[in-house]
Amino acid sequence: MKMQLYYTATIQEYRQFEHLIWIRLVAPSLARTARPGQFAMISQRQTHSLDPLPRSAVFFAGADPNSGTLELLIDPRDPTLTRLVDLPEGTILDLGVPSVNTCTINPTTQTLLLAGVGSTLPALLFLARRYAGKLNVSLLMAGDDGFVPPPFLLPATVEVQISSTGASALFDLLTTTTDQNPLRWADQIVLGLPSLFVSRAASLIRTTRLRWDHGLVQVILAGSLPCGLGICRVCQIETRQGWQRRCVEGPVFDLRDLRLPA
Amino acid sequence: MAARMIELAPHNPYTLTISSPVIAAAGSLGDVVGIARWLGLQRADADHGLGAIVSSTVTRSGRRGQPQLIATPAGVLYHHGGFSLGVQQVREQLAPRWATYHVPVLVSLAGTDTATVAAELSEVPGVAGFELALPATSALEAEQQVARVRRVTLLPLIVRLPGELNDPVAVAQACVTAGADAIALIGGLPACMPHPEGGLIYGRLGGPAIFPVALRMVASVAAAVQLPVIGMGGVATEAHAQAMVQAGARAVALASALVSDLRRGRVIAESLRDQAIS
Repeated sequence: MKMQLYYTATIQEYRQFEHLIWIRLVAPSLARTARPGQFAMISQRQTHSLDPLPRSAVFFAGADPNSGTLELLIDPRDPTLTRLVDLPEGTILDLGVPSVNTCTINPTTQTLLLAGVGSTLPALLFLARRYAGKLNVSLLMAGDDGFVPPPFLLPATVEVQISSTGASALFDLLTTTTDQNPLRWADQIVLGLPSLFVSRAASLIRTTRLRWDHGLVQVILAGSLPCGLGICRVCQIETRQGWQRRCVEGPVFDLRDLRLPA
Repeated sequence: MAARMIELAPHNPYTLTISSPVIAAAGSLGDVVGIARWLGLQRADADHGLGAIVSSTVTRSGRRGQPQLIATPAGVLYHHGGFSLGVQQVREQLAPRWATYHVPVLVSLAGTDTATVAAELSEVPGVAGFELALPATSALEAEQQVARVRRVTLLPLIVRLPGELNDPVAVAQACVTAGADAIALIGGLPACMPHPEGGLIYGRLGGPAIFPVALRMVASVAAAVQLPVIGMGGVATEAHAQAMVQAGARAVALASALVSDLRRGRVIAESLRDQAIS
């Protein structure tokens, strides 16, 4: 059986903030099935340009099945995303959306900690918005000046902590010594990180939690996704199950399964 | 409408008859198995437009490697990073699946153990033939390398030439002499790009940026050899494919264009449907 990979989406709304661009797309069938952690490989439809060739990989920042819309949040400074900058409303995009391993929240989870940096932040925002009001959600984000998502994307019932002194400041947020440190009490943790941060995150959790079972910490791994289909193997990483591709077996992994260099 | 059949190995007893003049170039669909569900390769009526698929490179033991792919103006720079599939993996896991597809899968050979790999996979069901990737080499060396593989397999053998040959016609003729069934060109051009984290990445440039170079070489080789020529190197549009056919190519192979969009095969196959193919 041939599965659907490609979808058409139309830009309904485009807003530029300091260092972020927010785009709302009309794509009813995708909006029904999109899940946090899922990404789209995007190119413009009906373009006569052959440049650049690889598609832009973007995590979904939200989906509303009722209105049939999807949301993207991109950093225009990212050179792989330049084709998505300055697009007029009404532009038709071509989305390749492979079925991938997305974030899974257990039915028993009451408290959810989300923490991340960079290109995975939209996926964490998607999670926060989906579970706002249903669970106790904390969202910790770090980056440089201007990365902060616009307030209307941050649900009122989600506790948000932000540091704009660089990506590694995320660990300052996570290592607060107060009793309120969500690392201590969260039922589930979802991190959005580049590979270089994973070992540090793992040792932090190991020293903070008495027990660290499978399923406690999921990681949405950031990084280049040139083909998005498992062809090029540029995105492969080492796991307990062997070498896996972030675009096929990921991009969401259990932290205990990752074997990444410190 | 019935598909027009194209013979890519007319002098080979096994033949390589394809139902579309569009081929997925080596590695453009990885190990093929991973992409099969998106293309419907197990369905006889699938509309992927591909007449044949060439796998990623296979070596004796396989290598893990870390490939790199960098966007360039109108193209991509690719470095395999040492990655290859292994003979055992092909024999036990991949070829049994390839055998169920309604499109022939050829094994890409490159490096120092090409004859060994060809010998070990020659009788494996699911392997429809081989594509031998030659490095930049002389006609004499090319003849020797092709002959080594030809000696160990009777399956269809396509020889792929790189874009940096001084005399591609002489090398192609040497490959014909040594027993090649078809010639494919060009397999990219040597290039480098800055690495995002510093330094340079050396690899092969593909994509529309190299198409004019490829077209010129295809035209010269197609005029000089009697065997089928497969035009490749930056073929991304219908116009590119039509130009390759007009230059004498019997089929075209897609690489980066297919990685970027799996539907390109169908679009280009439809554009060639009514074109006279030599």
